Amino acid sequence: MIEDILKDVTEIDAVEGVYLASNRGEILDARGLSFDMDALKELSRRLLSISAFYATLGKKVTELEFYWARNFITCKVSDHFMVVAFSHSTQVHSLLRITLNVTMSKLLENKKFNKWVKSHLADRTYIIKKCEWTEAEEKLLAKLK
Amino acid sequence: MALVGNLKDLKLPSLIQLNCMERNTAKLTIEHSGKFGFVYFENGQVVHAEYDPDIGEKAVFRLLTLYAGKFKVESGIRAPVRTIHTNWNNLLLDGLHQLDSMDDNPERRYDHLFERLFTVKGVKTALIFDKEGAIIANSSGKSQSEDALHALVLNAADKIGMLLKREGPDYISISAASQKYIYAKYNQYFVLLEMDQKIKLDVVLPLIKQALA
Repeated sequence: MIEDILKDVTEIDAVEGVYLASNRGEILDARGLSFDMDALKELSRRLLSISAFYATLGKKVTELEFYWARNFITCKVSDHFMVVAFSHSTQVHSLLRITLNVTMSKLLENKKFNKWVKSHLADRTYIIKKCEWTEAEEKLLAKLK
Repeated sequence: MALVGNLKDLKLPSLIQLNCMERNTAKLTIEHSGKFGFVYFENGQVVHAEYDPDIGEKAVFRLLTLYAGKFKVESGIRAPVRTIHTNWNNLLLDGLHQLDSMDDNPERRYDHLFERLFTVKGVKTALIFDKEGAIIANSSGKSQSEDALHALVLNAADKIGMLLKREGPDYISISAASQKYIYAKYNQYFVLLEMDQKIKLDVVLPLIKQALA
């Protein structure tokens, strides 16, 4: 069922892949991506860390987007999970954003998914506490708090 | 009826010229980053100005440096006091001359960039900072306490780029707390724009790119 929900995203032209991760950085499903699981988890940790930095200042992140000349990552963030999509064309941004919004609502209505989310509950700053940080990052984190 | 607008669309020299040539008696109020400035016209002459902590000509000269800010012109309001006796033509010429000479001032180095960025619809504040998050220039003049946040965000974005075997992204857009935050590379620095949540990224990103070029 969840596979079908994510399929809607990958069917968009120029979308390379999509994946679903909990706020703990655990991957539930990935489609069309060539990364291994460790790389995907590391990517999730970095994406979630940005949401966590903002959460530390009381700002709730709902969307993250990264632009390169020909590549684009969009990430929809909810309180307990995020959906991340990769594309290589600026032409599909609007459609991709709309499709991801629909994907988010379908996921929230999906029983299997909700069961999984409940077993991976974590607050938005969880990743800050659990990740390993360099000395420089530790200093910045101390300033943030 | 009051004339209202934004300095992004109608610059202060034009506003002064308009009121003086029309021989108006009016009060011009300008709001920039929560701070108010006032210019009073009487029979087509600039007679008084205030921009905390300055009054008189100095206040006009400082107001001329603003590249954005809401303004309102209310007709028929007289100045509470006369602090300016210079003819409006000379006052404006002096002000613009001072503005030109201030361009070499390091504190004003980024004003033209801010001016360009503020022509993009939805831009509320602009900030230039280095990789460590240290603030280089700030359009709002307010103190910035989020420098660690920006450094951490850029650091995370760089790591994301590395994982994808690329450099850090050219732009990052973050929707949070009813705002949109856009991070962009600018030479060796970075620009952070605080924008309306409702802006359409597909529309504003090319404009931001153009302003940063």
